[in-house]
Amino acid sequence: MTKTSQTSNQSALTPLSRSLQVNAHAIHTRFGGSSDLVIRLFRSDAAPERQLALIYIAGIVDADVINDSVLAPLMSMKLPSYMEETENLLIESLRACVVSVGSVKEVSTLEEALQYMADGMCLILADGSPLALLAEAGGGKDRSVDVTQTQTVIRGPQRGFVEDIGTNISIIRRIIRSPNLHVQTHKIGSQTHSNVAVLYLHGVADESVVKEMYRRLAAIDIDGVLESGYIEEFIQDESFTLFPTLMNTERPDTVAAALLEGRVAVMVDGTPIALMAPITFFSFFQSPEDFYQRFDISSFVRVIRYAAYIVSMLLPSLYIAVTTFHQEMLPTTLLISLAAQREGVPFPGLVEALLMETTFEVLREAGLRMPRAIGPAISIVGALVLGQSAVQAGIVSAGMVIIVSFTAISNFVMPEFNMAATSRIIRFGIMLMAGMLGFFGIFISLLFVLVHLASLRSFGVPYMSPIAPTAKGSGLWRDAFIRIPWWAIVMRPMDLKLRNPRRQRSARKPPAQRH
Amino acid sequence: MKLVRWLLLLMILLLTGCWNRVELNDIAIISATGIDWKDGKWILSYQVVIPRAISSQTGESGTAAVNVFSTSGDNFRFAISKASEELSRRLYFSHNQIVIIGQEAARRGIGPLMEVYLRNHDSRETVSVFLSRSDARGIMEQLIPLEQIPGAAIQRLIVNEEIGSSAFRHMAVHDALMELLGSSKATAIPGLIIAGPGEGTESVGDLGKTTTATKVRLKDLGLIQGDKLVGWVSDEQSKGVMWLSDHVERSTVSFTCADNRKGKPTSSVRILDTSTKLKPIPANGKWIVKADVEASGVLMEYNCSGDPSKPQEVEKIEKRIEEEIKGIMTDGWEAVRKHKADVLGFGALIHKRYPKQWREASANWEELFPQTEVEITVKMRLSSTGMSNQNFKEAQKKAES
Amino acid sequence: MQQIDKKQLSLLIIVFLIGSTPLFELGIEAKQDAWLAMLIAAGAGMLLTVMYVKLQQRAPNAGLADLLKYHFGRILGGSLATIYAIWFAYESMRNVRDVGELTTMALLGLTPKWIIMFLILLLSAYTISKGIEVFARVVQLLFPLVVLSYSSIILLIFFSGLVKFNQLLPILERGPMPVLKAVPDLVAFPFAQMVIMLVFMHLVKEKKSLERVTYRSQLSVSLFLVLMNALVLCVLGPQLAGVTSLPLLEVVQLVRLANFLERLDIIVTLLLFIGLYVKITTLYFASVFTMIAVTGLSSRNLLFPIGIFIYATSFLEPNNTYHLWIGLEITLKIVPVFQIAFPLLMLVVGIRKRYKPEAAGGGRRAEGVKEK
Repeated sequence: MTKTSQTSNQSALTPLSRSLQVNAHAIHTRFGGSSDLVIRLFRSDAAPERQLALIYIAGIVDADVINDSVLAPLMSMKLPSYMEETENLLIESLRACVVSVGSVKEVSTLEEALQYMADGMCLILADGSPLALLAEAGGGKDRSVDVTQTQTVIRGPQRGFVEDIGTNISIIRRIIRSPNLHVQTHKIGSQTHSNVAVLYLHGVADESVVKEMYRRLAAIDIDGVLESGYIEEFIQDESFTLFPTLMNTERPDTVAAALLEGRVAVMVDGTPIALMAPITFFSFFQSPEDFYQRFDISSFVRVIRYAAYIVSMLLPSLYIAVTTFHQEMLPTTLLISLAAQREGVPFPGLVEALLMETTFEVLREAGLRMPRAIGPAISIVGALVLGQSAVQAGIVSAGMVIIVSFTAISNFVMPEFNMAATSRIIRFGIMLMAGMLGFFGIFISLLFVLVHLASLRSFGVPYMSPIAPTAKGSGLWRDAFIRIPWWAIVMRPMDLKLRNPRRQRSARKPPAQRH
Repeated sequence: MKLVRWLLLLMILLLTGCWNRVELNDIAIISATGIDWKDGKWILSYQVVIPRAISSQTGESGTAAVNVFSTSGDNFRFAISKASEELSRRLYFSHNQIVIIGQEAARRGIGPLMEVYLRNHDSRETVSVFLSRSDARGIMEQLIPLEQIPGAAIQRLIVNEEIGSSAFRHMAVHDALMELLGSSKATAIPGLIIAGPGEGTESVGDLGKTTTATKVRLKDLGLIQGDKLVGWVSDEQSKGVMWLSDHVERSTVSFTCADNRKGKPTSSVRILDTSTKLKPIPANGKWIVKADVEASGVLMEYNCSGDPSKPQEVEKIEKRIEEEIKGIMTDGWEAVRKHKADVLGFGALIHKRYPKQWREASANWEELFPQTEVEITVKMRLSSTGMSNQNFKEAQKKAES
Repeated sequence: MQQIDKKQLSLLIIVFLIGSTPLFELGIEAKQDAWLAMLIAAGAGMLLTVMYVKLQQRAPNAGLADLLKYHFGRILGGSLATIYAIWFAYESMRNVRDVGELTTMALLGLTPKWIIMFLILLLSAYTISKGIEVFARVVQLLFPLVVLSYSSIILLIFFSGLVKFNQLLPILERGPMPVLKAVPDLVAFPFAQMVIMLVFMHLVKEKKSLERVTYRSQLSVSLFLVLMNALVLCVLGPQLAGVTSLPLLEVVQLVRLANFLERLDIIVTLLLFIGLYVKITTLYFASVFTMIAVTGLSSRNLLFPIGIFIYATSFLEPNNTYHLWIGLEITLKIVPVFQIAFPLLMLVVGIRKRYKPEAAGGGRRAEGVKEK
């Protein structure tokens, strides 16, 4: 849908000139004399009197296609005589008989020609013709499909998306081999003209969500889109929230699963990360592996994940509240050993906790940005130097180090980075409240978070469904906290208002034959 | 966005005051409290835990884990508030394990103590209460072998006793509160004494020896009527009281080889399960209380001639145990009756069963209570006679013949 | 117009009626028969609820203010609705104050009340600004927590062997009179507070099942409250339960299990906060909604004035004693006017002729205002 980019500069459309020289020169100037612009002038056997030109940008086109399917046939073409008559017929006949490339296009304006060239097509001009022919020759070097880097699983497919959107869509096509898989590509970015593809399963996904997705995408007006994060911030329902209302993944199987559940996926050229919507809070606690491992294991792990999320959000605050406000809650022996540790620690509990948490966040960020070779060194410095010696020097208490470490580890349990990050940020706020009002502070902040969560929506779907509001029908409520066996997952998530909510006709498992 | 601004403002407001915040190294954790009455003033003693001396990491041997000091005043809370004059940290009562009431203080009345517990949130009703024959402070100064914090040790002592031989019952403040507020308005609290001839076990050095000169032990049951201590009953009588009021869980009873408790009690039985059912019956303005005891246990030691592998013999043994238990209970009842303190809860029982009659009786219950007759029936069931059948000596004799 | 579904209404009724009720040992004037008084009051409460539902069914799409208007005409009905709105705000204030008192008594003795009450009210105002739909969802999220906590508390109390059923004896010691005397207050609080649901019932999508849902949830919550009442009596006995001001807290303090689970009263305090929060917000909501229907102003314009009114009035009572005295002695004698008298009057009067088509129809002019 190139409309978006073209509507803005429709007034400045310049038609192609009849003169090849003029056109080539115009293109050359428009590209600012870029050195990777190749203008190859040649003549063909069939029409030796007419000069032809092949223009493309080196690097984004496939040299083999250019040589074998475009240049070679052009130079050695033999045209039936009746086709040589008019200028335009030459271009017509080139398209019909000569260029052996799947996708070709005829354009009459300079801007269109430039646009397609930037997309990886090569331009064929013929002297004396105001039309130009474009042939698809996209290619060039890109990363090949590789093992996923960030979202790893033990059991399940290992391949991840790459930066090229065509490859990515083809991977999905190879998973869902159905004509119902609809793909609509948009161009977003007045400079980058990035391809943004919307994928959904026709007949399953909620059409109103798909329409809403198109509407929101069409409204984006930005110069460039480098990553799906750009898109995410434009199309999410609520901007000022810590909680992600779109899910992202670099795993094709996750996207395929989301499509099968009736969600809509958005892919952006140039990034291996795809977006999925609508999404609910509870989806972020499901790892793709949950659905590959046995259901009992997955259910157990899923419960652990919720616990870990709560721990990573609340543990330091609870520690502060208990040790500085509600000491009576601790068993006596624990209280005495904590009190012994705190003897001589110069900071109040709240400051101590904030200090340690900040230190940890710094260490974590350092670990991420460091070149891989230095990574282990950072962890040694973090663990040994900061942790151990801080305790030995009596600057922080040992209990606090345990709390901070466990909080950090719990945070890594979350399968989705952006959901894990929310708990890290909220943690600081709750710590402050706990340091001022103890449990009451924690309680109030948690309720604020809860009210906020209940008010969120993702493409119209309440964020906390299927718990609040409860979804009709069975199965899904349970799927939020545990994973039920595959044969029992009859329905798709009910909160999505799908056109076809059934995955299976009924819950039945092939009975085992006993001999 | 407006909300964010509001929240920021709130944060600033909040940061200016941390009203209730108290760091762990600003509190003095109290493990035991003592109450004495001397020279017209309440004397409160506190056993403060010194965490540094207990912690395994920084533990310094040679220092006691607790420190005891006292303050005095005309009422409890004022006395407590005076502690700030001599202590660098705030007294912290929520982890207090026991309250020891000195004899004098108990005679004066424990009403103010109950009042403090009801009114304040930091004083917990699960705290164990004890009476003390001497002054409470003396007991709190004693170190106890095996344990680091004497206050906690004494609480464990009573819990162990309760499930071990049940001569005493673990009394928490709330138990005392409920009984004193109930129909009978009387309760019984176990007593503590410092036993032994020595000077006292007050320094860590004393614990270095294999035996300590003195030790804290449970002794005698104090009877409280209204809110005042009215008398003591002995350990044996206390067991009877416990049995009558159905507070025995497990116990050991020693019995004789002859009927009617004659001779030396040379054998013993471990009571594993027992229950007492009390049933009041009105009788011409007076009351008869029927006590039905059902007990079962195993034979632990048997130094009599009979062969416990024979059913008739077992029945005989059961009968002797029954008599023994009945005897213990009667002793207990007589002791309580003498002090006119209804610590057995007969009043409450009558109140529940005969509310109309109770309204008349309650007016002069103190007079009526000693006139009550108690009829005790005991049903003992020996569930096991142990791993051997005959007594060792009997077996020896048999081998000779 | 935001709507809620029947499940949400049912949970709202349950959590609202639980509120802070288990905190107090209501009906303790009847000594060990307090639970009986509670049971009778629950029955009476059910009758009142039947009346409320019948009223609602006359005009399924009308809130309380419209109901009053349909029955008493525009001017009289409107002013009555205003009085109701003030009463709701007042009741909300009482609960705000409860939070303040509870916190200073059991949680943070030295922290000033104004900050505690400000925070809880801010939370309510935030919820209301998000709309009834969001509030219903929040209740839905809190409900499992409430159920889980209460059931684990009940289990713990039973397991730690504190429950002595003979504390409930003798039944009807002084005849039925003391019990019956305690009943009217118990009807007024908590059961007849159901009248507030008249503000929310018309928001339910499934009008047909309204009756069943309401009765069922009130029945279950009534039984729960009677159970809690009896449980506290069984643990503390009538005397001690009468002496302490926060009996449930007292009960939980006594729980000792495995030397580890022994200081649970803070958890209970937080649980009570959940109930109080729901109560404050519901009443605040009721006040705002009723005022919207009366004045035609938007929720945005009314939210802060009413909030400030609630906050300011919560400081009028000088101390805890006054607060409880006004609450238990004075308020309970007046509120039956709102809970029983006016609804009964409405039932007798019937809908005025000129409003009949409007009541049956459901299209309401005020709705347009309410929407945004």
